[in-house]
Order: sequence, then C-alpha cells, then structure tokens
Amino acid sequence: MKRTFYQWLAGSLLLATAAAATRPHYGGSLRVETQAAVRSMDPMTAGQGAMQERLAEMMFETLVTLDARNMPQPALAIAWQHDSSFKRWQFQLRPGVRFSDGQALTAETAVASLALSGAAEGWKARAQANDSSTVIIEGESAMPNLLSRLALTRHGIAHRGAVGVAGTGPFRMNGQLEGSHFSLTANEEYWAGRPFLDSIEITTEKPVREQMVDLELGNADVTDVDIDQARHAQQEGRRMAVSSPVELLALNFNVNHAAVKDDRTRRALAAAIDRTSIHSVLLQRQGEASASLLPQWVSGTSFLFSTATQEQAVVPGRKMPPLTLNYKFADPLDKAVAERIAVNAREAGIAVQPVGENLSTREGSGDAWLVRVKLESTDPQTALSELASTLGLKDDSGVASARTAEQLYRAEQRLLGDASVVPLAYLPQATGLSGRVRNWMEGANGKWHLAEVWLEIGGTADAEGTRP
Amino acid sequence: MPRNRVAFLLPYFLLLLFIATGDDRAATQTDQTGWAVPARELVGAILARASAPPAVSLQVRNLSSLSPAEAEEIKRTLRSQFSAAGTQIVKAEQAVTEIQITLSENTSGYLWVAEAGRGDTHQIAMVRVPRAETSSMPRVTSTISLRKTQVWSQAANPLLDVALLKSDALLVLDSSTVSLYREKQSHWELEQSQPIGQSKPWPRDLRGRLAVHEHKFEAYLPGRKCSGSAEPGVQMECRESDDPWPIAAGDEKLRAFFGARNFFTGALAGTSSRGNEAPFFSAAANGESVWFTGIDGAMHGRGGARTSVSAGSDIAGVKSDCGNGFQLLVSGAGDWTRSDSIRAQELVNGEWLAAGAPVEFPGPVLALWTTNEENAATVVIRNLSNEIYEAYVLSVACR
Repeated sequence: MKRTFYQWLAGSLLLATAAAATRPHYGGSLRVETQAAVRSMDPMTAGQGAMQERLAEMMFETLVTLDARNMPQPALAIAWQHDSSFKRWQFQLRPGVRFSDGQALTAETAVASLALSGAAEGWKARAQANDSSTVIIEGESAMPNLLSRLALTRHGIAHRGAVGVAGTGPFRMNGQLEGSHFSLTANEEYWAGRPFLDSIEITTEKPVREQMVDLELGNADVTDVDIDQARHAQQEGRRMAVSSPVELLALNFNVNHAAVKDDRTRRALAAAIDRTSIHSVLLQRQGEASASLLPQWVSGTSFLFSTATQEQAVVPGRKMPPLTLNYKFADPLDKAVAERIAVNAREAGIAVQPVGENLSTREGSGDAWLVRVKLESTDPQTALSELASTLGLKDDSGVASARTAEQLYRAEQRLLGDASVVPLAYLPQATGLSGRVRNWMEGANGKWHLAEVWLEIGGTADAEGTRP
Repeated sequence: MPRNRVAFLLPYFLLLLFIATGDDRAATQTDQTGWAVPARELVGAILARASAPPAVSLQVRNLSSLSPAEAEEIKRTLRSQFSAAGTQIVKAEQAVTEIQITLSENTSGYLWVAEAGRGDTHQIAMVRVPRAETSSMPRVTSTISLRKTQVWSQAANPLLDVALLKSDALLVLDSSTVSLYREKQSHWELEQSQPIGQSKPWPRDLRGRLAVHEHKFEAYLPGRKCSGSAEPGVQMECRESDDPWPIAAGDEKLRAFFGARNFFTGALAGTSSRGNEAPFFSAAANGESVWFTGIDGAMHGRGGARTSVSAGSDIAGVKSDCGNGFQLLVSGAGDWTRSDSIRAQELVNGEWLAAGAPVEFPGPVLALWTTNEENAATVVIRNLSNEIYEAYVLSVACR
C-alpha cells in the first residue's frame, strides 16, 4: 500500500512538470508592445529612448561588446591591438559577415559607419591600405577606454544605402518604419546563428494600461510595466523581468534662470529632498535612492554620496525665490515625485510649483525639471562620461582621464559639485512577459537578448515546416 | 562491480581526487594571499592619508556579495594589518581617527573603500579586489546516487561534447575544433587541435557529439561530419554530411538524422529502426526499447506512445549494476536562464519512477549524451555565474 502511494505521488510530481522542455524551439512571432515612440532604428539615434536602443541592438552590432565583467568581447571585430600610447588601434573584422541589404562587411563600410558615429569622439577611422578587413582608429590623445566606448549602441555598424539603414544583427527590419506598428524578421544568414524567433511584431505608443490588458488576454508577449506598479504586479503573480537599477531619476536645474543661478539656492533645494521616502513610498522600494550619478552596482562608490536629508537647508537670513519644477505630464510617477519634492521644499521654506510639460523632445521651461537618463554602459567611466554629456554637465571633471575607481569617484564629485544636477534615485526597468516566452535574458544594463528568446510549444513554435 | 567497469571509472575517481585537492589548495591560497594583499594595500593607503595616527577606531561593513563569514575573515585580516603597521585599534571615543571600511562591489569586482577622519575632515582610499570563482559540488544520498565528475571547462567556444579515451587522453568537441588533451602531471595539456571548418553559419543552440571507437572517432555536427584518429595526434577529415548520428555512441543499430536546427528530424536508420518518429531533441535506447523527447515537450516511446516522464529536452540511457540495470537520465525543467538538474528514472511495472536524488548543475544542461561504454553519460552545461562551459561525466552508483 505504501509503495503504491509513493508510486502515485512520484508519478503525479512527474506529470506536474510535463511538457516543460528546456531546449529552444524555433519559430513563432514575439509580440512586443511599448508606450515609447520609435521614430528611427538608426543606431546613431539609439540614445533617444530605451526602447529605440533595445530594438537597434537587435539589428546592429558593434565591433566589440562588454561582458558582465566589463571585459571586451569580439563581435564584428575578432581581434584588436593598440600601440603603446593607446592612440592607434587596429581591428580585424569578422570574415563572411553581410548586412541585411546584402552588402558585405568590409573595412570601408565599417569606416563609413564609424566616421558618422565617431564624429564627436575625437578619433578618426580609416581602412588599412590594401586590406579590406582591417580598420584603424587613431586619435590625437590616448584612448585606453576606446573598447568600452565602441561597445556603445550608437557605434553599431550600419550600411546606409538608398533603401535605408541595414545592419548585421540577428534581426532585420521588415519594410519601412512607419506608424506605430512594424516588424523585424529573423536574419537567416546571421553569423552567430539564426535567432529562434521567426519575427518580432512591435506596437509602439500604446498606453501601459492597454498593454496589461493585452498581456492578460494573450494578445501580447512583452510589455512595459510602470516601475511603481511592479511590486503590485508581482504580488498578483504576473510574470515579469526586473532589471538592475539602470535609469537615473534626477533634478536638472536650468542654471541660466535667475531664480536658480545661485548655487546656494540649488544646494538648499537639494538638501531638502527626502530621497528615502521617494524610494520607499513612490517607487515602492524598487531600485535605490541615489545621490550619485552612477548606481552602486556599477561604481561601487554610490554609498559615499549621502542620500540623507540635511538640516538647515535654507541659508539663514536669505529669502528663497519661488521655483517652477517641470515634469513629464504624461508620467504619473514623475508627477508624484515632483509633488513630493514640492512638499519637502515647502517644509524647508522653499516654494516650488510642479508643472507638467511635454519633456520628451526638450528640456523644461521652468527653473528645474525632472529627467530620466538610461545608463548607456556598464563600464563606470563610459557610463559617467555619457551621463555627463546627456545632462549637459561640464566635462572638465577628469572623467576621461580617470584610471582608478578613486579618480572616477573624484570626477563624479566634481560633476555634482555645483548642484546643477541632483540625483534622486536609480530605477530598474520592468517588463511584463507572457507565459509562452522562454529564455528571457537581460543584460546587466537592461539590454534584451531577443536572439536567444523562444516561444513555448503550443504557441506558434514550428518544427521543420519553416526551416530556412 | 565488473573489473572492466572499475577500470573505466578509475580515471574519473582519480580526476575527482585531483579536482578536490586542487580546490583545497586554491582556497588556502586565497586565504593567505587573496585578502591579505589588498588589506595591506588599503591599510597602508588610508594610514598614509590620515597622517599615520597611532590609534584608530575601526568599523567594517559589507555592501558586497561576500558572505558574512568572508567579511568576518577580511575584518580579521584588516585588524592584523593595522597592528602590523603599528596602529592600535581602540574604541571610537579613544581614537585619534575613526576609520570605516566598506566592502563594496562593482561590475569589475570587489572594491574596498576606507574612509578616515574625525568631524568634517575625511580622507578616502580604495583598492580593487578581483572576484574569485567558486563552484559547489553537492552530494546526493539515496539508494541510487548519481555521481558527477567535472572533466573539462572552457570559456571560449561553445562546448558540445567530450570523450575520455583509454589512453589518458581527452577529446573535446566545440563549435570550431576537435582538440586532443593529454594528461600530464594531473593536468590536461593540449596536444593537438584541428579545425572543423564550416561553409555556412551554425544554427543557434548548436549541437554536436563524439562517437569514439578505440582511438578512432567521429564528430557529428549539423550538416557536417568529421572522421579521424586520436593516435598518434589528431588526424581528421571533415566534410559536408547528412549521415545519421548514433543514438548511443556504442550502438550502431540505431541512428537518427539530424536537421538543420537543434533537433533530430525523426527519420531513423540502422537495423533497429522501425519506421520514423516525430521530430525529437534526444533519445535513449535500451535493447529494442527507445524513448524520445519530442519537440512537443513530451517523452514518447516508439510509435509516439506518450510516457509519464517529462522534464527537460535531454535524456540519456545508462547501464549500471543498480536497480533493474538501466537508468534513464533526464534533464530538468526550465530554460537557459536557470540552473538545471539531472535525475535518474527507473522503469517499474511500466512506469518511470524517480530513482535517487537529482544532481544539481550551476547552469542549463546543453548536452546529455550516453558515453561509448553506455555506463555513464557526458553532460555539458553553461555555468550561469561565469558563462563558462563545463563538461561532466555522470555515472550511477549503488548505495
């Protein structure tokens, strides 16, 4: 009797895990929905939005990539070397690679692409004479950090022809980017192996609430999840992926405005902000409160920047002017943060008026605005340099010449020294996933690896029928 | 246990002993030099910046992934370094300088940060500490137990299969080469490596397997086959080929055609084939009985009869002296984002039942092939903690 019971129990447990294959299936179309607008797939414009960057990474590849430890790994370049001064680098291109428009990857096509993306980098690319597979990059000054800069999405190698922009990545654009619905198809000749998916259907500019409904009804596979709703969604048992904290939420002062021209005013407001309550209440403890430009997991020194509210925020005997704080009007979380800052400020004797604006295309018109900036790299130096550039911070901090963690920390201190930017928190990115999505992997900085994703059988995964 | 089986397993046990000894030596080395060197560097730097105070208070906090035990050991090491530098550690109220050391971490490794000062004056010093790789080897306890022995690891190319040769040699198949390693002073030394060559991109989730007969071998990859000899050195010829792959490496009676992606087409060849099957990822044979893990996620017998066993996509049959003499090894459920396990199943009264505890792996199982002698299986995984491919030999032991 006992043996029979255990036999039944063992059988039940086994059946409970039925049809749970581990090996990937080919086929099917992944349906992605996002509230972001995607206007271009050119890697040069990837920095305009997280979704745009994620999609560009599906189509375009860089010469090198960074692994989880920030070590450079071969991508379109299979080998590289530099001279002793780090001013001249030589890259050997991967043989046999073609762009999705049929053009072969050569030193000339790579140089044409790098000439555009590297225009502001201070270096020049050229093809090695009589060698169509070698690219030379030369700069006036030493470039010890060149590899991590070349791993930035905007340096993705693209062939810009008459029919559009073509890449070498695992997916290719199906038709033109028009409207709010478009698709990518698998690159059958991809050098690292055709992706498991046949295609990716992308719907943009869709409200998050509608995305959640589509996810629940089985009409979408990948959706946005507002980060302040992530905890609630997890408690409801919804499947989602939450990245490391990769998006800086900061207060950016318009230092040309008379009201905030005096750095003592900016410091007074910065000192009054209660980051802990923003993190614990408004962000539902997702991510981390931060007073630094880089998150703790990237720099290891974020804890040295105090997030505590400071007393005596207002300079005694000095009348503070009323300030206007802009936030993205369509974003309820940003609105809540702006209102909380206004409350903190009022308690410190500073009048702050939150005003919603369309901040997607320009900076705010007020004295300060809330800004969100995604981390572009997991390399601390490159990430800090990119953040400084995006936030309009003066580049005399020594970021470029920093060689040690301590030097980079000092540079970060200098960037924040005039309080023209006040970090508030680092946010993760949350992604809702349908039950049929398998092998969902995100890079440390929230990159999607859709070439590895496959769809569970019973969905649209196929067998030999559509084999290339 | 038959003598030939003991002879076959002996190298694995010796290798396990070597690995265990090597791990201990590495751990001792870490204790002696791993923490002491950065601790000395950090203490020296912060004392220099704080003008070498004679007495300091010391607080150490851990913001990294170091375990509490490791953090405590580092704290002891730091204290001894202060003492060695002639600085006394006292209570905060007696200290000339207060020192707080934070064991932090970033994407490149550990970062230890020392802050020294009193009042508003603070000095900071930092040292980078490389992260060490660790791996665990859990034990299983049951009447039947699975024993795993790591035989190989590599970071570069995707590892597809390995085969231990009787001449203390290891044949390694990866996505670009077949390599022969010879055991020299308890280490595998590369003797020779031959390129496989490829005329078109490999499919994603590339699979491949080695079939070894004495010193001769065949390497099967999608659309390509290499035949060669490992003695003396690797001599190999590769060609485009759709030849069927062996189901069990030592069994010529049943072979299966592999498709252009990551599964077998279902077309079978050999004297034991009895018609074709549905497409499958993996198969195991015991005499005339064959089981397939279909691409539909379920396990079938011949003719598509579903069985009660279903887990991962990979299975392998192993013959042993335990139980009824044949165990089916099955990989666990989940995808490549998770750690994996392999468990043994036994057929009892027509029903597959779990036999013993599963053996855990720190990453997904990418390959599970029965060895040539059919008394063990080769397992290839990708370790999720370091992205390194690891090969194990998995055998069944009676308890």
